[in-house]
Amino acid sequence: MTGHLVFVIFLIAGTSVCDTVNHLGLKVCADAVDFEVVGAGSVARFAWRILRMPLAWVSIGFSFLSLFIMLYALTMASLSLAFSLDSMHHVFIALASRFFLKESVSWRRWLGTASIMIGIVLVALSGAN
Amino acid sequence: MPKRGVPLAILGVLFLNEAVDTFAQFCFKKTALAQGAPAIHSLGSAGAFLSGVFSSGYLGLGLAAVALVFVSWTVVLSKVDLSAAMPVTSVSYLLVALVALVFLHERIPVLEWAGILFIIAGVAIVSWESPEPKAPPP
Repeated sequence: MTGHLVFVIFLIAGTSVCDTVNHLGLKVCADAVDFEVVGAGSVARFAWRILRMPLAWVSIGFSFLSLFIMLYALTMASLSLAFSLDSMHHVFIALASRFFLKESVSWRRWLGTASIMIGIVLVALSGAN
Repeated sequence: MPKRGVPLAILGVLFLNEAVDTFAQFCFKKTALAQGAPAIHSLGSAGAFLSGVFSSGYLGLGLAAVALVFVSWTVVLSKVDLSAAMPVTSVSYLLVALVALVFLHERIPVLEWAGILFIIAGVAIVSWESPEPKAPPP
């Protein structure tokens, strides 16, 4: 049962890595489109500009990969467990922002990240019993 | 630049977003439940899993919900700061647990509830003061 849980955590870490790549990619796309969204027509134009970028499709590809890994994890784990563990993408994004994008991460963010990690450990422990 | 405060109407849209997102998670769990207990150990078995997943009506419903949330989230971010909108998304960890408990009859031990509370607090704290003006939904 514990080996089973370790495999589920491994799969969800995989979806979180895919989500992180997806978020970083879309962030780069959104920064490249300097656009004020006002009204329904401009939403379509904003989406069109994003979708013309190849990087947006790489991001969309990673989000589908993340979804399929998650669907596989959900065949073995309860939704509440899998969705709670999936919060680890917040931790990965904080780490990627700091070490990959070289953004400064405030102590408050590290505090929140630590709280998420405590939560993930508690959820995992509850799944091991 | 968007304002930091969140108008009530936008707060309503944000909560609705989380409800729709929770519905999407419910649909994905239903999709997975329809697959039984597949074991992926080769490209062939991965393909069989994918075709099984695509034949589930719940997958399309879940994807439609995700698309709706994505568009609505993008529009909301043009009206308010990410740091103001993002903490609201932490409520999804509570909503998903409640839906799993009530509609999927999942057993959620006290230790898991405690973990969920730490996660909600953490997501709220992490997103409270984001220096970045735009990001995709969580």
